[in-house]
Amino acid sequence: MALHSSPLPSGDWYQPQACRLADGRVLMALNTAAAVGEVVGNAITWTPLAALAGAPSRLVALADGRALSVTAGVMRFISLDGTTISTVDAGAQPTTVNALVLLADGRIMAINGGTKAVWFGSISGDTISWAAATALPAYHYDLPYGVGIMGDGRIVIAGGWSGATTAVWFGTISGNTIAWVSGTALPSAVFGGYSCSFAAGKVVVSGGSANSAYQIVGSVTGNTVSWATTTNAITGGRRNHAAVTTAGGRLIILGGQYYSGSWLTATDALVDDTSGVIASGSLVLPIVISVDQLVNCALPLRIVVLPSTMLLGAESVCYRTDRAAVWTAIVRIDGAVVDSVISDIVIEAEESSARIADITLVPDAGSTIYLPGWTGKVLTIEVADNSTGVALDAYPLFSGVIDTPGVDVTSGTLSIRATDDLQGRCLGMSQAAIAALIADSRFSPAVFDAAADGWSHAQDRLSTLPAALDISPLGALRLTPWAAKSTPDLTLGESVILDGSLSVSLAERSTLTNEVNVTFGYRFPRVKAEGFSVNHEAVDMTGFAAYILAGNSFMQRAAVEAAIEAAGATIIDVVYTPLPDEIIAVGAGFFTPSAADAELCMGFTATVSFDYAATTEEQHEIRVYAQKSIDAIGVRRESMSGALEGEYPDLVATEAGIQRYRAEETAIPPADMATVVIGKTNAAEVTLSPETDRTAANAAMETLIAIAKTRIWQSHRGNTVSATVPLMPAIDLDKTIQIDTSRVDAKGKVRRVTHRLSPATGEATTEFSLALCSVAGVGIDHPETATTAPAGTSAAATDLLVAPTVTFNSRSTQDKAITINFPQVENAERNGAAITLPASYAATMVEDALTITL
Amino acid sequence: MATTLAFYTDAGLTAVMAELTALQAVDGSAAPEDRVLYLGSPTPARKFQVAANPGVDVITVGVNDAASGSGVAASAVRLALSAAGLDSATPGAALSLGTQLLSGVANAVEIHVRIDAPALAKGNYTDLSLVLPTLNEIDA
Repeated sequence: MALHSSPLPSGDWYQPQACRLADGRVLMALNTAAAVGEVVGNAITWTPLAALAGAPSRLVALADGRALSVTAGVMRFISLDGTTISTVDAGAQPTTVNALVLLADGRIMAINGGTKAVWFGSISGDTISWAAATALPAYHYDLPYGVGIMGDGRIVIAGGWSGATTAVWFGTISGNTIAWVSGTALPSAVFGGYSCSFAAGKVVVSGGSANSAYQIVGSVTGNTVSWATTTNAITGGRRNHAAVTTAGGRLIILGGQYYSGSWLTATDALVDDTSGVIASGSLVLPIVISVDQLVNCALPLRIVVLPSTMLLGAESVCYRTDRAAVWTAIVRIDGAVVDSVISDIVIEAEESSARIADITLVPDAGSTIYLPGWTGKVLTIEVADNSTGVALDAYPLFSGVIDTPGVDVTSGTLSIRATDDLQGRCLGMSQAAIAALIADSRFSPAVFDAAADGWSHAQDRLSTLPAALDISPLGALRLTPWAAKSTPDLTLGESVILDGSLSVSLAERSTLTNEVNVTFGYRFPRVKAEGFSVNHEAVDMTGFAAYILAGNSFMQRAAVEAAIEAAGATIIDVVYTPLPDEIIAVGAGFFTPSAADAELCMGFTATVSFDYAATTEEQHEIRVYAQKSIDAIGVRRESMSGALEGEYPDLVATEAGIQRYRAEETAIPPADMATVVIGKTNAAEVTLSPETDRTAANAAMETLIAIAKTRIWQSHRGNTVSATVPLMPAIDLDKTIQIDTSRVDAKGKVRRVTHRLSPATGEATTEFSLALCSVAGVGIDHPETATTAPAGTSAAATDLLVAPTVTFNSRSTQDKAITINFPQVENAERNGAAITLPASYAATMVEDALTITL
Repeated sequence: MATTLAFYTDAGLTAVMAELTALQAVDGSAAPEDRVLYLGSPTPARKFQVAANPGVDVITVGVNDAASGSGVAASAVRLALSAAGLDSATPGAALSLGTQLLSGVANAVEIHVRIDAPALAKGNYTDLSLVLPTLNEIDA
């Protein structure tokens, strides 16, 4: 490897931030300057840019051509149009970001090396959705350039400071989970502003405060790295620089410091010529496959105009009020009219199921048909007026695809089963499209499978809404509420209903549900801080002389702090009562101040804290019920349960991070920390992943409540009135029908419909069933409680019941020990006992008309 | 060679739509019929551009009236990229789809169609169709 020096644009490029944009250019920035560079051969041609407002502390290139930076805790998208740079705020950082890495799947990884927290960010436009990921396997205080992505998509961390380390870690990503595995250690520790570059199967570690002139090249196979150290590869050494890797795998070290008697700011970039690649890119020769007119991509529209009496169902081509009906069935396969004799046609449709058509054909003797070629072909069925011998007023009954063609070789008949493919239509739809189709439904990934296919997703959403999904005879997806329309689409009386076909079937009590008990557990952490005021006055000025004469000693300030820390507390603030700074008469002698008195005190007052993370477990006991149904038939109970656990980085690491920050051992603030209030245990909410936070828990509970309400209504729709009439194409699943006969008066939505046509016999009928919700009586209202999640617990402050005690063995015969005893953390605070939260919701349903007169 | 671009009934691009049928009343009283269809190609790694000026001219879906002055007027059809967009769509106006279309299920274009015919004599009207301009299909 040889490194070629290429000058940087003017500026003080100490600790610059840099990334390689998707178009191959190198973007480099710091507080006072920014520049973009084109790599040509072994040199970089730089163009200065307008400086960014505020220094980017981290910078990463995105797959969409932009870059993402962190400036003063705020994420910003950076766009470069030619040499015009612009920024858009992308919200607060999820944690104190020490490193930003672009993952192979396009997400962003943000790392806080001080707490080990790792977050994955999904970018949509100018918005980033953050989710907590598996924490780092070890603290890492020497980012950002010690972590990256291998060509196989794995994360790799090499070296750094958690103590000078030679550790290497590989992380395999699955969703928000990272499986960390240690790799072959570096031959020597690297830390202090070093960098790593990553390419397919290769890691190059460069510079740093230790071994600044070294480059260590590792060839990666699995978790094994074969390391080779190149001594003095970097003339003068280099640290606190940035590093990028070109598409061709070439390393570029940018700015930083080199050593020449002292550390001086570098004014150049070092470009690796190992690969010998001068320019990288692929050459594509577009091949025109078709330049013909796309006339065959046009879609014919057919608008069928019929008398409104037919559309409304008052009459049909099979049922005329003015004359006898003469009808014919028109069957088309792939657009061509089937001219075989049609024996029977049965079309069945049921709520939230595919519409099925079965046809039996009798082809002419001797005809040859390639049956397998029919599978998947479009099949349409219409019924038309044939009273003039010409098919008129064709009314569509079915539109779908042939699923199963069959043949009976004995009788010489063909059978065709076709479906409107409701499941297939939904399978390909996006979840957003299904959500739009099944409007007002609910969804929670804590209740349903977020990765479910479109059909399952549609079923999940339908379980939360009193509505049915089906495809119309014309092929349109539609959603129809269960509640009957106030004005029926059709009213059918005894003159139309075929004799003996009217029947009533009432729901069994055992199938009814009028109460659903939902148990939902939500477990999540909170951070807490116990705040104590600790004070002790060994002596004041009134007893000062007597104190000394009695042979007492003064407290060592260091011993005070050691005693507090030995008790596990963190000192927020401490004020000492100093020894007098003047000569004081003590018996026959004097107390004379000295310089050593600054290490002693007569007393102290300290504010200290105990910080810890505790898990809270809410147990929501939610009762969903239909009171008037309970009053009528007694309780019919079901139960459901669900649970969600808040995703948060390791709690032990969180506690350690807070304690280290309080103790000023690190300047990196923890993501979440409770405010210290003296005399209180003060709790604070933590930042959970969006999939598991309070909003997600509320969505889960609201989804479960909606499911319970829907179940209750659904079970009460078990009453059925069925009848058969001359074929009426207008009768379909989206219709509300009123049955108006001397025995039965009912109104409800169609649950099931079957059209039967037998051209051979001329018989054409429609059999339908109405789903009727009836339990408390027509006109009875079932008021509903709005589906809003019950309130959960909130972070609060509770009183500390016991104060700390301080003892100081001050006498000359004693050991001068300072002992501070703090009360133990209350179990209830630490363990977060399960809290039961009851709530109840009234479920609604709309009573359908059902009156039977015998 | 025939193009692989087609109208489909499903977002998964598995069922080619040969014809779009709508029911309307002679007195114009029937409710408008809203439909959703998908324009795309399941063949991987293809893109489609207007042949006259590839990558520059915008691809449009228009309503072609083969019997202007008789039958159903193009204004009986509205096109939009969303259900909500149908209300504000201009009757008979073409729908812009951008300068290129990419193949693959993920890139299928969801097109919403509303058919709302005025009072007409009863019968089947087939003079209208949805049409695209001449396109080139090339490797993406």
